[in-house]
Amino acid sequence: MPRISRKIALLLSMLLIFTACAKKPEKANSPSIKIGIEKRGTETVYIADFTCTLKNENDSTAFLNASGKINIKDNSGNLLLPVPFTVKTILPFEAGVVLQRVELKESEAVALMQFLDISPEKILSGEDTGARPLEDVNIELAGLKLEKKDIIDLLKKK
Amino acid sequence: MKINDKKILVAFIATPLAAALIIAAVSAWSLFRVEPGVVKLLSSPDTLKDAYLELREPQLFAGYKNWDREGNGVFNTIRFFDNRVFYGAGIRPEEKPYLELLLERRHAGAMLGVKTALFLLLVSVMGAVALAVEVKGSGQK
Repeated sequence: MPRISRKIALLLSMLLIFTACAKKPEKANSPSIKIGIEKRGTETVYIADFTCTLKNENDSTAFLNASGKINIKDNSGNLLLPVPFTVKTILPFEAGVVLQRVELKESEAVALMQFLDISPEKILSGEDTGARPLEDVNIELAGLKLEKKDIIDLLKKK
Repeated sequence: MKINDKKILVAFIATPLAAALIIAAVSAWSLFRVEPGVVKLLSSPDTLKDAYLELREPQLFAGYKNWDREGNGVFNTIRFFDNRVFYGAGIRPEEKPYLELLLERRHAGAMLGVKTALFLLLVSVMGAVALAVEVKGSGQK
Protein backbone atom coordinates (compact mmCIF):
# COMPACT_ATOMS: atom_id res chain seq x y z
CA MET A 1 0.00 0.00 0.00
CA PRO A 2 1.47 3.43 -0.85
CA ARG A 3 2.52 5.48 2.15
CA ILE A 4 -0.13 8.19 1.70
CA SER A 5 -2.99 5.63 1.50
CA ARG A 6 -1.72 4.00 4.68
CA LYS A 7 -1.78 7.36 6.45
CA ILE A 8 -5.32 8.08 5.25
CA ALA A 9 -6.48 4.60 6.31
CA LEU A 10 -4.94 5.11 9.76
CA LEU A 11 -6.56 8.52 10.10
CA LEU A 12 -9.98 7.18 9.05
CA SER A 13 -9.78 4.19 11.38
CA MET A 14 -8.81 6.48 14.28
CA LEU A 15 -11.76 8.72 13.44
CA LEU A 16 -14.04 5.67 13.31
CA ILE A 17 -12.82 4.43 16.70
CA PHE A 18 -13.20 7.92 18.17
CA THR A 19 -16.74 8.39 16.89
CA ALA A 20 -17.81 4.82 17.71
CA CYS A 21 -17.08 5.30 21.41
CA ALA A 22 -20.26 5.80 23.37
CA LYS A 23 -20.15 6.58 27.05
CA LYS A 24 -21.63 3.83 29.21
CA PRO A 25 -23.40 4.64 32.49
CA GLU A 26 -20.77 4.57 35.21
CA LYS A 27 -22.99 4.63 38.27
CA ALA A 28 -26.52 4.21 39.48
CA ASN A 29 -28.18 7.56 40.21
CA SER A 30 -30.67 8.36 42.98
CA PRO A 31 -30.68 4.87 44.50
CA SER A 32 -33.28 4.03 47.08
CA ILE A 33 -34.72 0.93 48.65
CA LYS A 34 -37.96 0.05 50.38
CA ILE A 35 -38.14 -2.94 52.64
CA GLY A 36 -41.52 -4.57 53.03
CA ILE A 37 -42.69 -7.48 55.14
CA GLU A 38 -45.49 -9.76 54.03
CA LYS A 39 -47.16 -12.51 55.95
CA ARG A 40 -47.93 -15.51 53.75
CA GLY A 41 -49.70 -17.95 56.02
CA THR A 42 -47.24 -18.72 58.76
CA GLU A 43 -44.30 -17.57 56.68
CA THR A 44 -42.79 -14.08 56.86
CA VAL A 45 -41.51 -12.83 53.53
CA TYR A 46 -39.12 -9.90 53.28
CA ILE A 47 -39.27 -7.89 50.06
CA ALA A 48 -36.92 -5.19 48.83
CA ASP A 49 -38.07 -2.75 46.15
CA PHE A 50 -34.97 -1.15 44.73
CA THR A 51 -35.01 1.86 42.40
CA CYS A 52 -32.33 3.91 40.71
CA THR A 53 -31.70 5.44 37.31
CA LEU A 54 -29.02 4.86 34.70
CA LYS A 55 -28.14 7.91 32.64
CA ASN A 56 -27.47 7.79 28.92
CA GLU A 57 -25.30 10.86 28.34
CA ASN A 58 -24.78 10.20 24.65
CA ASP A 59 -26.39 12.37 22.03
CA SER A 60 -26.79 9.75 19.32
CA THR A 61 -26.50 6.32 20.93
CA ALA A 62 -29.41 4.48 22.48
CA PHE A 63 -28.89 1.62 24.92
CA LEU A 64 -30.98 -1.50 24.50
CA ASN A 65 -31.41 -4.49 26.82
CA ALA A 66 -29.20 -3.13 29.55
CA SER A 67 -28.57 -5.67 32.28
CA GLY A 68 -26.25 -6.08 35.22
CA LYS A 69 -26.16 -6.09 38.95
CA ILE A 70 -26.43 -3.36 41.56
CA ASN A 71 -24.52 -4.36 44.66
CA ILE A 72 -25.70 -2.80 47.89
CA LYS A 73 -22.83 -2.64 50.35
CA ASP A 74 -22.37 -1.47 53.91
CA ASN A 75 -19.92 1.28 54.82
CA SER A 76 -17.09 -1.28 55.17
CA GLY A 77 -17.72 -2.55 51.65
CA ASN A 78 -19.35 -5.85 52.65
CA LEU A 79 -21.97 -7.03 50.19
CA LEU A 80 -25.46 -6.89 51.67
CA LEU A 81 -27.61 -7.53 48.64
CA PRO A 82 -26.98 -8.04 44.92
CA VAL A 83 -29.86 -6.75 42.79
CA PRO A 84 -29.90 -8.09 39.24
CA PHE A 85 -31.70 -5.77 36.84
CA THR A 86 -32.71 -5.26 33.23
CA VAL A 87 -33.77 -2.10 31.45
CA LYS A 88 -35.18 -2.48 27.96
CA THR A 89 -34.37 0.92 26.44
CA ILE A 90 -32.49 4.05 27.44
CA LEU A 91 -32.73 6.72 24.75
CA PRO A 92 -30.09 9.47 24.38
CA PHE A 93 -30.13 12.06 27.19
CA GLU A 94 -32.64 9.91 29.06
CA ALA A 95 -32.38 8.17 32.39
CA GLY A 96 -33.52 4.55 32.36
CA VAL A 97 -35.40 3.60 35.50
CA VAL A 98 -34.36 0.45 37.30
CA LEU A 99 -37.26 -0.85 39.33
CA GLN A 100 -36.50 -4.22 40.79
CA ARG A 101 -38.30 -6.30 43.40
CA VAL A 102 -36.25 -8.87 45.27
CA GLU A 103 -37.45 -11.42 47.79
CA LEU A 104 -34.90 -11.54 50.55
CA LYS A 105 -33.58 -14.43 52.56
CA GLU A 106 -33.99 -13.83 56.27
CA SER A 107 -30.23 -13.42 56.73
CA GLU A 108 -30.11 -10.83 53.92
CA ALA A 109 -33.12 -8.99 55.32
CA VAL A 110 -31.72 -8.85 58.85
CA ALA A 111 -28.34 -7.50 57.68
CA LEU A 112 -29.99 -4.98 55.37
CA MET A 113 -32.48 -3.73 57.95
CA GLN A 114 -29.72 -3.44 60.54
CA PHE A 115 -27.63 -1.37 58.14
CA LEU A 116 -30.58 0.83 57.15
CA ASP A 117 -31.70 1.17 60.76
CA ILE A 118 -35.12 -0.29 60.05
CA SER A 119 -37.08 -2.12 62.67
CA PRO A 120 -39.35 -4.94 61.41
CA GLU A 121 -41.84 -4.16 64.16
CA LYS A 122 -42.18 -0.57 62.99
CA ILE A 123 -42.78 -1.72 59.39
CA LEU A 124 -45.43 -4.19 60.53
CA SER A 125 -47.13 -1.56 62.69
CA GLY A 126 -47.04 0.96 59.84
CA GLU A 127 -44.90 3.34 61.87
CA ASP A 128 -42.09 3.17 59.29
CA THR A 129 -42.58 2.83 55.54
CA GLY A 130 -39.24 1.03 55.25
CA ALA A 131 -38.08 3.36 52.47
CA ARG A 132 -34.54 4.72 52.57
CA PRO A 133 -32.37 6.63 50.13
CA LEU A 134 -28.95 5.04 49.63
CA GLU A 135 -25.62 6.83 49.53
CA ASP A 136 -23.43 6.50 46.45
CA VAL A 137 -20.74 4.78 48.53
CA ASN A 138 -23.17 1.98 49.35
CA ILE A 139 -23.96 1.26 45.71
CA GLU A 140 -21.89 -0.44 43.05
CA LEU A 141 -22.89 -0.96 39.45
CA ALA A 142 -21.39 -4.24 38.31
CA GLY A 143 -21.31 -6.33 35.15
CA LEU A 144 -23.21 -3.84 33.03
CA LYS A 145 -24.00 -5.22 29.59
CA LEU A 146 -25.91 -3.35 26.94
CA GLU A 147 -26.43 -3.07 23.22
CA LYS A 148 -25.49 0.23 21.66
CA LYS A 149 -27.57 1.36 18.75
CA ASP A 150 -27.41 4.51 16.66
CA ILE A 151 -30.56 6.51 17.43
CA ILE A 152 -31.26 7.39 13.79
CA ASP A 153 -31.12 3.71 12.72
CA LEU A 154 -33.38 2.85 15.63
CA LEU A 155 -35.94 5.56 14.87
CA LYS A 156 -35.98 4.74 11.16
CA LYS A 157 -37.34 1.29 11.99
CA LYS A 158 -40.23 2.72 13.97
CA MET B 1 21.44 28.00 8.74
CA LYS B 2 19.03 30.05 6.65
CA ILE B 3 15.36 29.38 7.18
CA ASN B 4 13.48 28.93 3.94
CA ASP B 5 10.71 31.52 4.32
CA LYS B 6 8.99 30.56 1.08
CA LYS B 7 8.35 26.99 2.23
CA ILE B 8 6.93 28.23 5.52
CA LEU B 9 4.69 30.69 3.69
CA VAL B 10 3.47 28.03 1.25
CA ALA B 11 2.51 25.84 4.21
CA PHE B 12 0.90 28.89 5.83
CA ILE B 13 -1.21 29.34 2.68
CA ALA B 14 -2.03 25.69 2.00
CA THR B 15 -3.07 24.54 5.49
CA PRO B 16 -5.86 27.06 6.18
CA LEU B 17 -6.90 26.90 2.53
CA ALA B 18 -7.40 23.13 2.74
CA ALA B 19 -9.30 23.48 6.01
CA ALA B 20 -11.43 26.29 4.51
CA LEU B 21 -12.32 24.14 1.49
CA ILE B 22 -13.37 21.17 3.64
CA ILE B 23 -15.43 23.34 6.02
CA ALA B 24 -17.01 25.25 3.13
CA ALA B 25 -17.96 21.99 1.40
CA VAL B 26 -19.60 20.62 4.58
CA SER B 27 -21.48 23.87 5.18
CA ALA B 28 -22.57 24.18 1.54
CA TRP B 29 -23.91 20.61 1.63
CA SER B 30 -26.05 21.55 4.62
CA LEU B 31 -27.18 24.91 3.21
CA PHE B 32 -27.96 23.86 -0.33
CA ARG B 33 -28.81 20.19 -0.04
CA VAL B 34 -30.01 19.18 3.44
CA GLU B 35 -31.87 22.32 4.52
CA PRO B 36 -34.04 22.71 1.34
CA GLY B 37 -34.85 18.98 1.64
CA VAL B 38 -35.94 19.42 5.25
CA VAL B 39 -38.03 22.50 4.39
CA LYS B 40 -39.83 20.41 1.77
CA LEU B 41 -40.43 17.58 4.25
CA LEU B 42 -41.73 20.08 6.83
CA SER B 43 -44.30 21.40 4.39
CA SER B 44 -46.38 18.23 4.60
CA PRO B 45 -47.86 16.81 7.83
CA ASP B 46 -47.19 13.30 6.49
CA THR B 47 -43.43 13.75 6.30
CA LEU B 48 -42.75 15.39 9.65
CA LYS B 49 -41.16 12.22 10.99
CA ASP B 50 -38.82 12.07 7.97
CA ALA B 51 -37.93 15.72 8.56
CA TYR B 52 -37.09 14.89 12.17
CA LEU B 53 -34.89 11.98 11.13
CA GLU B 54 -32.99 14.31 8.79
CA LEU B 55 -32.62 16.88 11.56
CA ARG B 56 -31.61 14.27 14.14
CA GLU B 57 -28.22 14.04 12.41
CA PRO B 58 -26.61 17.28 13.57
CA GLN B 59 -24.65 19.65 11.39
CA LEU B 60 -20.90 19.47 12.04
CA PHE B 61 -20.83 22.82 13.87
CA ALA B 62 -24.17 22.43 15.61
CA GLY B 63 -23.75 19.13 17.42
CA TYR B 64 -26.18 17.94 20.03
CA LYS B 65 -23.48 17.26 22.62
CA ASN B 66 -22.73 20.59 24.21
CA TRP B 67 -25.44 22.81 25.55
CA ASP B 68 -25.61 26.45 26.36
CA ARG B 69 -28.67 28.27 27.67
CA GLU B 70 -29.99 28.92 24.14
CA GLY B 71 -29.59 25.25 23.28
CA ASN B 72 -31.88 24.01 26.05
CA GLY B 73 -34.93 24.23 23.81
CA VAL B 74 -33.22 22.04 21.23
CA PHE B 75 -32.13 19.59 23.93
CA ASN B 76 -35.68 19.19 25.24
CA THR B 77 -37.04 18.94 21.70
CA ILE B 78 -34.72 16.04 20.89
CA ARG B 79 -35.60 14.18 24.08
CA PHE B 80 -39.28 14.70 23.41
CA PHE B 81 -39.27 13.63 19.76
CA ASP B 82 -36.91 10.67 20.29
CA ASN B 83 -39.46 9.35 22.75
CA ARG B 84 -42.44 10.11 20.54
CA VAL B 85 -40.97 8.49 17.46
CA PHE B 86 -39.47 5.51 19.32
CA TYR B 87 -42.77 4.61 20.95
CA GLY B 88 -44.61 5.06 17.66
CA ALA B 89 -46.60 8.16 18.60
CA GLY B 90 -45.50 10.16 15.53
CA ILE B 91 -45.22 13.93 15.24
CA ARG B 92 -48.30 16.15 15.13
CA PRO B 93 -48.57 19.15 12.73
CA GLU B 94 -48.87 21.57 15.66
CA GLU B 95 -45.44 20.41 16.82
CA LYS B 96 -43.81 21.65 13.61
CA PRO B 97 -42.36 24.82 15.27
CA TYR B 98 -40.16 22.57 17.40
CA LEU B 99 -38.78 20.93 14.28
CA GLU B 100 -38.14 24.40 12.86
CA LEU B 101 -36.11 25.08 16.00
CA LEU B 102 -33.84 22.17 15.06
CA LEU B 103 -33.62 23.47 11.50
CA GLU B 104 -32.61 26.89 12.84
CA ARG B 105 -29.81 25.27 14.83
CA ARG B 106 -28.62 23.39 11.75
CA HIS B 107 -28.70 26.62 9.74
CA ALA B 108 -26.76 28.46 12.47
CA GLY B 109 -24.16 25.67 12.42
CA ALA B 110 -23.81 25.89 8.64
CA MET B 111 -23.45 29.68 8.80
CA LEU B 112 -20.78 29.33 11.47
CA GLY B 113 -18.99 26.96 9.08
CA VAL B 114 -19.21 29.52 6.25
CA LYS B 115 -17.81 32.27 8.49
CA THR B 116 -15.00 29.98 9.70
CA ALA B 117 -14.15 29.10 6.09
CA LEU B 118 -14.04 32.80 5.17
CA PHE B 119 -11.75 33.52 8.11
CA LEU B 120 -9.39 30.71 7.11
CA LEU B 121 -9.47 31.95 3.52
CA LEU B 122 -8.47 35.39 4.77
CA VAL B 123 -5.54 33.85 6.67
CA SER B 124 -4.54 32.06 3.48
CA VAL B 125 -4.76 35.29 1.45
CA MET B 126 -2.55 37.00 4.02
CA GLY B 127 -0.02 34.23 3.52
CA ALA B 128 -0.24 34.67 -0.25
CA VAL B 129 0.42 38.40 0.07
CA ALA B 130 3.41 37.70 2.33
CA LEU B 131 4.73 35.17 -0.21
CA ALA B 132 4.32 37.67 -3.05
CA VAL B 133 6.27 40.26 -1.06
CA GLU B 134 8.96 37.67 -0.27
CA VAL B 135 9.27 36.59 -3.92
CA LYS B 136 9.39 40.20 -5.09
CA GLY B 137 11.99 41.07 -2.45
CA SER B 138 14.26 38.13 -3.33
CA GLY B 139 13.93 38.97 -7.06
CA GLN B 140 15.19 42.51 -6.48
CA LYS B 141 18.32 41.34 -4.61
